[in-house]
Order: sequence, then C-alpha cells, then structure tokens
Amino acid sequence: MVGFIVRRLAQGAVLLALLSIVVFLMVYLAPGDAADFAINQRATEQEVQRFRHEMGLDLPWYRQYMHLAGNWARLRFGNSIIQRKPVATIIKQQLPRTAEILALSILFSLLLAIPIGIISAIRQYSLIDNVVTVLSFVGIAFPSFFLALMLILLFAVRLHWLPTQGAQTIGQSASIADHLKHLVLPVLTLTLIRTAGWSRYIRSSMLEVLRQDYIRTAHAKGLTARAVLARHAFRNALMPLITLLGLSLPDLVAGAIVTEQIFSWNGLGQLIVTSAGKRDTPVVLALTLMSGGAIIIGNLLADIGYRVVDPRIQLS
Amino acid sequence: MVASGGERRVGSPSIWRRFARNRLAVAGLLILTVLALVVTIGPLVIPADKVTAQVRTATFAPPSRDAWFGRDEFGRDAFVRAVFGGRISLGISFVAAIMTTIIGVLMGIVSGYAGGAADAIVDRFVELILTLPFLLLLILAAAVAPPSATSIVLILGLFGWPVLARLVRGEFVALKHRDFIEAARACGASDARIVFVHILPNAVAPIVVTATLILATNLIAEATISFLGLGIHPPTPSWGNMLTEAQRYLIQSPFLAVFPGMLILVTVLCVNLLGDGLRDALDPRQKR
Repeated sequence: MVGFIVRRLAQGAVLLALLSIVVFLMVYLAPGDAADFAINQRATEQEVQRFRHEMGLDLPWYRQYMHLAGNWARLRFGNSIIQRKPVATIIKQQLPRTAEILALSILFSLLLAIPIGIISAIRQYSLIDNVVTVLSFVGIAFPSFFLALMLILLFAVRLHWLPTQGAQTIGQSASIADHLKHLVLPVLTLTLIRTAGWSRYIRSSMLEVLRQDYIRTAHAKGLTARAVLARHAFRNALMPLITLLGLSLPDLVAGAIVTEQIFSWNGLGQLIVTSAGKRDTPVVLALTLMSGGAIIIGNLLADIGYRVVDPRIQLS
Repeated sequence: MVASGGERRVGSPSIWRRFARNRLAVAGLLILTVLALVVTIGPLVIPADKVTAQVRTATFAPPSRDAWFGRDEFGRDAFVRAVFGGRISLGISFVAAIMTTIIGVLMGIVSGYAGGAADAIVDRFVELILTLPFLLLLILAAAVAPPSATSIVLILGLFGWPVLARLVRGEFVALKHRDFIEAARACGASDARIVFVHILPNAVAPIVVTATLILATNLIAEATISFLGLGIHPPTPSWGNMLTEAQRYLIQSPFLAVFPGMLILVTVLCVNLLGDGLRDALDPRQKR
C-alpha cells in the first residue's frame, strides 16, 4: 500500500513537471506577453521594454522556466506579473470563494442524487424512474451557462427574489444573510448540473448491484426487502461515489469557471481565465499545477478509497 | 466474434431494425437531420449581409413573422444569426469530432498493435492530457491562441482523443493474439491488412458510440469557449457568443437567450440520445 502510494506520487510529480513545461510554452508562444498588459496603455515602447527587462521577460524561455521551477522547488509560487503580489496571496484570497460554492453544491448534489438514484433503480421503469431519467438526460445536455441564465431569468428578472452578481451587495456592510442570498444561484446551478450526472451513476450502479447473486441469496434467506436494500445493496451501490468525489477534487480550480464568470464570483476560475488572457505566467502555472496535482491526488484517493471499502481490490 | 463483415457490420439491416425500435434515438436523429439541413441550406438561401443588417427601429423586437426569433440590441434578425451561428457551432464540433476520432483511432492502433516503446509514448501523452480537466485545458489553449474557428477545431481535435485511444488500444490488445489473427498472419497478410481488415472492424461499434459522445462534448465545449469570449468573436455569430450578448439584455428580451440556448440544449440532447440508440443497436452487450 505505502509502496503503491509512493510510486503513484512519484509518477504524478513527473507528469506535473511535464505539464508545467507544456503550459509554460503554450503561454510563452502565444502572441503578446505580460508586459503588454501589466503597465498602462499609454506607456512608451521604452517603458514597456524596461518593464520586460525588470521582470525577466526578455530572457530565453528556458531561463524564464528555470526561474519559475526554482521557485517551486522551494515551495514558492513567485509573484504575479500583473498584480505585483505574491501568487500565494492571490490564491489564498480567491480559493475560499470557489471552495464554498463547490463544497455546498457537492453536498446538495449528494443529498439529492443518492435518494433519487436509488429510488429510480428500485422502481426501475416506473413513472418516477421515467421522469427522473428524462430530467437527468436534459440535465446532462444542459450547458451550465444556459442553465445559469435561465435561473437568473426566473429568480432575479421575473421574481426579483435573488441577486445575481458577486458575493455580497456592493455598498452594504457585509452580512451573512446577504452573502447566503448571493450564494443561492451559483450553488443551485452547479448542484443541478452535478445531480443530473450523479443520479444516473448511482442508479446504474444500484441496478448492477441488484442483479448480483448475493442479493438473490439475501432475498432467499427470507430477509425483508428493506433489510436487503439497507444492509446489502445500498453500501455496495455507493462505491462509485468514491470515484465521483475523488474526481471532484480538481474542480476546486476549474470546476466553476463558467458559473463564476456569469455570477461575477471572484474565485479561482475567474483568476485563471483573466491570468491566461493577460499572459500572467506565474499565476497560470500555479493554478495549472494545483489543478493537475488535485487530479493526481483525487485519482489516488479514489483508488485507495475503493481498496478500503473493498479489500479484494488489488492496487497495482 | 467475427473477424470482419458478418452481422455486426454498420448499416446491415438488423442493426437498423434494432435502432429503429428505440423511438427516442430515432427522434434524436430526425431532429439532428433537420437542424443540420437548416444550418447548411439556410446560409445558401439567406443573403449573408442579413447576419449583420441592423434595423435600428426594431431593437429588441419580440419574435414575429418578420423575425422568427425576434431582434437583438442592434435590431439584427436573431433567427438569421442563429442559422449562421449554427453552421459555425455545428461545423466546428463536427469537423473537430472527426479529427479527434481519426487521431484517437490511429493512436489506439499504434499503442495497441505495435506495443512496446510506441505504446509507452502514446500512454505518456494520454496521461499528460488527462492531468488537466478538459475544460481548463481548452480554456487555457483558447485564451492564448488567436481567436478563430480553425483554432477551436485544432484545440478540440488535439485534446479530445485520449479516451478513444485507450478504448481502441484495449480492443487491439484483446484481439491481436487471437487465433484468427494468427491465421491471417500465417496466410501472409500484411500488418496494415491485419489492422484495418481484421481487427479494426471489431471495434467499430464502440468507436462510433464514442465519436457521438465526442461530438456532444465538442458542442458544449465550443459554446462554452465562445460564451466566455475566447472562441468565435462577434459580430460573427455562434450559439455560444449569442448567449454572451443576450446575457446583458435578459430584462429587455429574454428570447435572445432562450432561442440559442435551447438550440444548444436540443442538439446536445439529440446527439446523446442518438449515441445511446447506436450503442444499444450496435452492441447490445455493451452497457454504460
């Protein structure tokens, strides 16, 4: 087990190193550099050049990359070229914003998707199953930005119930109630999209389990239907949730890009889009590495989780 | 399992009959056909200058016989824009899906059939691409690439193939040591013949199904990138960027958001239904 984890982490580190080179080159080779965006529009060519020289943007690409990589080796992310602040500070500022809408939406999706998936599996092809199936098909096909716009149309434009921009009302002193109101629409958008997919997973996993021999055995032993479901089927059907949760970890950086954009939600998703647009390499790379690291760790956690739940599974 | 041809070939009558029994899938195919015809024939019939023609007296006009989807903030005909935008959105997604499929199949063949170093190299690429969330990768690439239809096709095509490559690789690894392959080799068949005539036809079903899923992913991806302002730029319409503009005028005219949004939703839904139907018809054993 320990050997497995160490090996996977080592492979992950190599992948991240490669990834950082690829993403660095992508930004480097793109037209324009951070100097074009960092200082004001009316700056003379000389001033831009001086800035470029100060920031080391005139160095060959491998020296720029080595400089960044040297920082990472000392567990530093360096400074943002555009915002002229440490990247770590910027991320620390915006991470909680993304984390709160993601955590809430994952929580609500679990609360919705588990009962929905299980009920529609137990009552396969019933009216309720058919309704759920249609809804989840529509939900899976729904582009998140269109869903967000429709929710805004209903709850803000028509009903005037909810705010649609930012995390609190501008010009008002911060209050929890006000913040919660602002949370509703972004969280609802993310929750609905996620629930559509997850309830399908849980339904098919439950159907799979219900076909197994040990379920028939449990019925044959004379257990009540409730006992069979609660003690035998339920636990095994929830196995894929481990994967789903593990795979949700990387969403911390990029899982809400579109939702954040629509609701002017100042999180990591917005940060990476603007930073890429302004060629702010240190920020882009820090977020890329975070996201890639989250994928590697998320996959690893999912594998370990499976192993813990089902000791028959061999880790290789 | 048959080496080639036989009952499982695409287009043979029994497959069509099985597909036709799935009414949702048939409906999906019909709606997609109509949409595809409208967005290919429409731009040939409608003069191109109508896309940007502004009727300043009719800004935010609701849907009418004159402009079926209403008019936008400049008084442009939203239906005409949706038709031309559809050609771009569907065109990009479709071309990119074909490109992805070809790359994915070739990569899968190389790593599955050749094995060894080629397999290891392809697998590194697959892992590398899968180390970032798909959408993040697309957004990063789109943010740094010059905004054009060609860029989006290339981005979607170059980053979408890993899943398909793994699938094709699996088929090749499973089949390449079977007796009928040994037999073909003993008869003097070349590698190319073995790959394309004896093994690949067995993988057609999952490839076709995966290709439809890729098409659906591309549709959403293109719309998302354009919605974020990183893809097709106005005044050229695409379904995604029509929604960006509509977002600002939800109060004045919700129609401007509803129509292009519904078009994306319906198209993706139909592609997914089609994919489901194809999976059931082509390979009844394969389950999601």
